[in-house]
Amino acid sequence: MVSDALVDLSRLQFAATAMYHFLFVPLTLGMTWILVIMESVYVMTGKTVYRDMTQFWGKLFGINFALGVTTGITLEFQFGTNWAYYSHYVGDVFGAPLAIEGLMAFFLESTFIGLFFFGWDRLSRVQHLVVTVLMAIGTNLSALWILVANGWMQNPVGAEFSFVTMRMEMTDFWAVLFNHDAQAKFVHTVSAGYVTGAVFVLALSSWYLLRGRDIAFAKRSFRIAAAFGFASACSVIVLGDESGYSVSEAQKTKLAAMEASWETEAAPAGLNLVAGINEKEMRNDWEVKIPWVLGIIGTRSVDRQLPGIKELRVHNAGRIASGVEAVRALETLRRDPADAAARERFEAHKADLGFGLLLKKYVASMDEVTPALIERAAADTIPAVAPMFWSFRIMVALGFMFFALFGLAFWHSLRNTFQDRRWLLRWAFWSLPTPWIASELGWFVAEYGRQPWTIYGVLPTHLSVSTLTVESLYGSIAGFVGFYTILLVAELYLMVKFARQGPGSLGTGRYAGEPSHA
Amino acid sequence: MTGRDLRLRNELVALVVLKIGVLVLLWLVFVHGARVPVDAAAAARHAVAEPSLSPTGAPHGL
Repeated sequence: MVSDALVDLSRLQFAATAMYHFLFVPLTLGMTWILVIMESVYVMTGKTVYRDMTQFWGKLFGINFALGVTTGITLEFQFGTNWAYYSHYVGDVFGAPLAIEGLMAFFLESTFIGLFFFGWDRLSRVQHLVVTVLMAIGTNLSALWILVANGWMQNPVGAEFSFVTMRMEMTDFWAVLFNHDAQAKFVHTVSAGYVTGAVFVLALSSWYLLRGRDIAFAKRSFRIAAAFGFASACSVIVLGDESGYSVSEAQKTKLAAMEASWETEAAPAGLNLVAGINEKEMRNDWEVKIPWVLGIIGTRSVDRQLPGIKELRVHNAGRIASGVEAVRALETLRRDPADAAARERFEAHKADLGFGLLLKKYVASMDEVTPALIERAAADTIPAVAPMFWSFRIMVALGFMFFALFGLAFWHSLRNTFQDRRWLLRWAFWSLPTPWIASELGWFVAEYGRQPWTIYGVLPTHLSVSTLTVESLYGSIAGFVGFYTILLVAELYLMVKFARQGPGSLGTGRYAGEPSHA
Repeated sequence: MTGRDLRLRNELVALVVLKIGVLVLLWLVFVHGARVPVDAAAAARHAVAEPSLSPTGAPHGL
């Protein structure tokens, strides 16, 4: 028995665990490359302070990794427990990148993370640096496979539906791997992780500088974070633009909702900077618009139109009507696979099968479908506009804030004046939570904006869930939230504890707070 | 390569072999014999033959 409550609670549970998980991931992604840079300088110069930097920031990285590493596994379990029909329908495609990610994470990434922490006294400098580089590569490759899987959910290429097995079957692995959406998401997501790592090091280094402690250590850390962060902030903006272009090609409803574009404008469309969104009347009460910008960003041209929400609804209603034919033909084929007429009808309409399945939320049989129900299902194909519009804008605004922060930090690093710019140090410190906010909002836009689909245009969310009881979901949500909150509290406690101790926590006798430190 | 390096190398090789061995053992014990047929009929019942929600959103059918 599938109810609205079951669908909503299953979504809530997955969203909550995914968002918890992604509190840990971006810092892991970013810190690995910062550790590579610090250790490279140590290997090249032989200066002990760079070894201390690698070990101290590596310790904070280790705390984050150890607490975060278990949080993603529950997501994979949920595909089986809460999303069994999803797993059946698309497991043939979705399972491959997830399996490869598991191998990458458990064999490549975790092996080298172990060597990173326990190999300091057993490996030569160069060997240890190679381990650190391989750890960074392993971490990023894990992200690649997850994002290949997620990119396929956004733009399902390289697969075809089989009415015999009732599932999507992979036809072209390389199309899945090199899916433009997946690649754009991968580079944008890892860049956002690099920004997170850089903000983390910059913020804590600024705190040490503001307190006038461990100056040499903090100044070097600040410089590396500023340079790496500036390159990452530039990347995240450019690659975010690429990700947006990808959305405009494959997920027009998501783009229209993100931009609150109700009407189809003459090309090139203007960009709503801010707007008073009136979802009920499907219009903006007021808007501040920059001419041409959305059309140029979204289509890379000045003459291609971007469809508005109203046009997309009409278009999707047509696809739903076609999808009704696909579902009817499929039902016939399930009874008699040799029925040539049904086969021909199915082939003609199967591209719209997913749209026909949207109606299964409302009716048992396609014979019960009415024009009003088709309109209602077409309205479902547009995600709520206001949350998309504002989440996207806050994320973009934070992206430009990172560009400004790191630009100034890098500039003052080059001039060696950042230590005297207390406003810059304070700004850097108080920016500490912002990359996590931006990342979570980015995922919200990506996933909420894909609704009502789990696989865009192929499988509706309401058909993806397992037939569990609502009571069991309340229990598991409470369990997950409780468990993850404990992990988060432990993370924050350990992070704050060791960040306060600073490099003195290494026990070298060279830093503030240590007994032998002069 | 020093004696310490050689020892580390041998330990790492032994660990990797052990990991692969354990993995193969787990596969043999828990996975090898398990053949789960794809249940197309259940998916068909879920997706194309029965409704999941009534027009008001209340549980209906299935």
